[in-house]
Amino acid sequence: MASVAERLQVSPFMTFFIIMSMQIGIGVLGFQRIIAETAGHDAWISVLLAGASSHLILILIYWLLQQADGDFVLLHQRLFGRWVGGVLSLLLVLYFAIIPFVVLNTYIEVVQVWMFPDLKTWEFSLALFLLCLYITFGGFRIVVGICFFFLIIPSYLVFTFWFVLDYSDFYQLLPIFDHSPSAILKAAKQMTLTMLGYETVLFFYPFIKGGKQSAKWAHAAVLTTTLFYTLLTILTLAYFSENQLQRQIWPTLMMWKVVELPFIERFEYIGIANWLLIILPNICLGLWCSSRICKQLFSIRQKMALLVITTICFFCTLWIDDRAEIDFANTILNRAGFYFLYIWIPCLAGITYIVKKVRGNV
Amino acid sequence: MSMRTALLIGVTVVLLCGCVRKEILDDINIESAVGFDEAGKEKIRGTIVIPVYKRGETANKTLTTVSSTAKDVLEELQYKTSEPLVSGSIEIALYGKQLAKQGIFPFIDQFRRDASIGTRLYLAVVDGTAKHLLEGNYGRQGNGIYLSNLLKQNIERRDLPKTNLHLFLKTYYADGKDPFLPYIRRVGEDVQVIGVVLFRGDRVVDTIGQSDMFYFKIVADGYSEGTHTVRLNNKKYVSIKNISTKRTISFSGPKTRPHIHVHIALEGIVREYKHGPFTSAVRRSVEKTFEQQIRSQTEALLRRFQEKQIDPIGFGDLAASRYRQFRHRDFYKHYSQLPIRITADVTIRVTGIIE
Repeated sequence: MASVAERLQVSPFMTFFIIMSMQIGIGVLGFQRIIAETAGHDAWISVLLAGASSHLILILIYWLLQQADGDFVLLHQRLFGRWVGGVLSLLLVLYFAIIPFVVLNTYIEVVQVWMFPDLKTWEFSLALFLLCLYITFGGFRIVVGICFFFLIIPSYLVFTFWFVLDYSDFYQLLPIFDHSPSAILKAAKQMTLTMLGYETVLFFYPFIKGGKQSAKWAHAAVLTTTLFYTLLTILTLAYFSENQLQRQIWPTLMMWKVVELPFIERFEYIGIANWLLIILPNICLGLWCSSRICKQLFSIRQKMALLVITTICFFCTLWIDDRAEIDFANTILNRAGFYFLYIWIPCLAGITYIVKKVRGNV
Repeated sequence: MSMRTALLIGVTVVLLCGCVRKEILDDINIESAVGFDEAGKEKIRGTIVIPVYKRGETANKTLTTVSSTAKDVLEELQYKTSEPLVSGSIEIALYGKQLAKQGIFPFIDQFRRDASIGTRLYLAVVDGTAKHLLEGNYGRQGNGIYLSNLLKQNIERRDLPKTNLHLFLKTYYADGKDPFLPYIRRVGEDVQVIGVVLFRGDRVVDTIGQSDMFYFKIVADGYSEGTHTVRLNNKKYVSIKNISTKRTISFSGPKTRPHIHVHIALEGIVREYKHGPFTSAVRRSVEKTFEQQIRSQTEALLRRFQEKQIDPIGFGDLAASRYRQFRHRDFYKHYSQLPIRITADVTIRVTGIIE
């Protein structure tokens, strides 16, 4: 590995911020309803399960990276040859390009429904894509800086959930394990979209100084995210009654509606505005990852790839004009993420293990 | 390149500013309270209050119209104002008693859907018509603020159980709990809380008077900060201020027909006792009498709920959290015959600042 100059690298501890800011995104506004639909008041167990499985996958990812000297695209090519490996990596380009698209569209929908009904999708997405282009043009270190600040700055939002405690009935979480294990597992599967984000490590790994040391920070990030999600799920389940929760599209935003501060009447407006900061790392890192793979695959300049991908993303947003389509894109992304992480990564680890036994090296 | 991009972003930002509709405070009418009444067959009378800010105080302007659906009522009022009506700052929504008997959910639905309305919005049922109540002039801050402060004060300091839009919807959708709302009345140029109305679904089926509110609150909220007067046997009165109340509800027996045990532990201080020194013998007798009163009054209340087949306390939901694979339907089949045992434990902690 080490094809990346040291001045372009970041310290291993930054992995924590990159992964966490990538994991916490638009899904946080509404994941509770979906998992509670399947697992009812036991949904928080599903969150913990999804978190635990993420740790396992992360272990596999780090093992794979070490086998491949930190280059995942190269691993694909070495295992499956130039063409098949290339196509597999191309799918990943698509996957990482869908993330900014889905995240941005979902966010714009929230803004339109909650704040400005007459906001035009293209105006907002143009402004935001230009901003993200500007950030990602600055290179990986700038993207990491965005991840760092835009995780720290909005983190105060956690405290706003204090207001929710007034109206929470925690007995609603009892009895624990009242749902079948299969329902809880199914909800854990549905939780994957919200947990996604740590797979980016596959591509930014070469940019971390002393890559291996970043493993503990990556795990710390996944753990923190899991705990945060669990807490939020518990609060949501205590705050709403079960049937009521099923009628909310964005439970997290609904919870802000009860916040009362002397200087602001509707707190969710602050929350939504702040959420832009939270989704910005999602978009930037998604764009960065997909353009990085392009660069490795086609030996083109990353900026060129970025421009093309962003333009395609932007024109795709023009084409979407309906909630159902955004939902559809979300479902696709959720599936793709699930198959990539929970099917493809373990398979790949198995294949790598066998090849290593046979050939002696990968 | 980056310079050019920066310039492009700058230009875009400038161009995009002002693309969305602005709402300038001076150019809009902010509704502060709304009311709904029945107005003949299938007709609804809607009333809104708009605060008119003058120097030093706030006057109220009320607008009324009659229409056939809830949505139309507020929309039609737009015809009567020179500036657009916005609903983001509604403090309270009132429902006339007649309307509340026929179901108020259609008139709550729009608040639920409107992203600009907070869920701390108070709902209340009016003895008489909401129109009559809203047409009064109360307080210096306008009717909306006055009414919401009235309820807030009574919830935080007195015997009104916690309610607002969120809690109403929460209990409305819950399988094992029925909603309740404050019951208010206009008395001259004042508004008075006269009790609590109880719902089955979204229809009012029963009313609790002022004297029972204290007992209702300690069972429903498990908490009350109000002052309560205990009448002793020998025609003496003692006024007790609640310090803390703890309500425990436990279940035993089969899940379709459990035995319910309600225990109320109350701690208070003496506020007023004008019949000689407050000795420990008096204290014990006060405690005993108070316990006895809590038991009998609460039991009467709960018995009434059982007869009316309503569950404002939420026994169904509490039972659901104690039993596995709980079915609300089976529970409510036997609800009216369930044995409920009430115990109370009153402690008078201190006697105030006078020996």
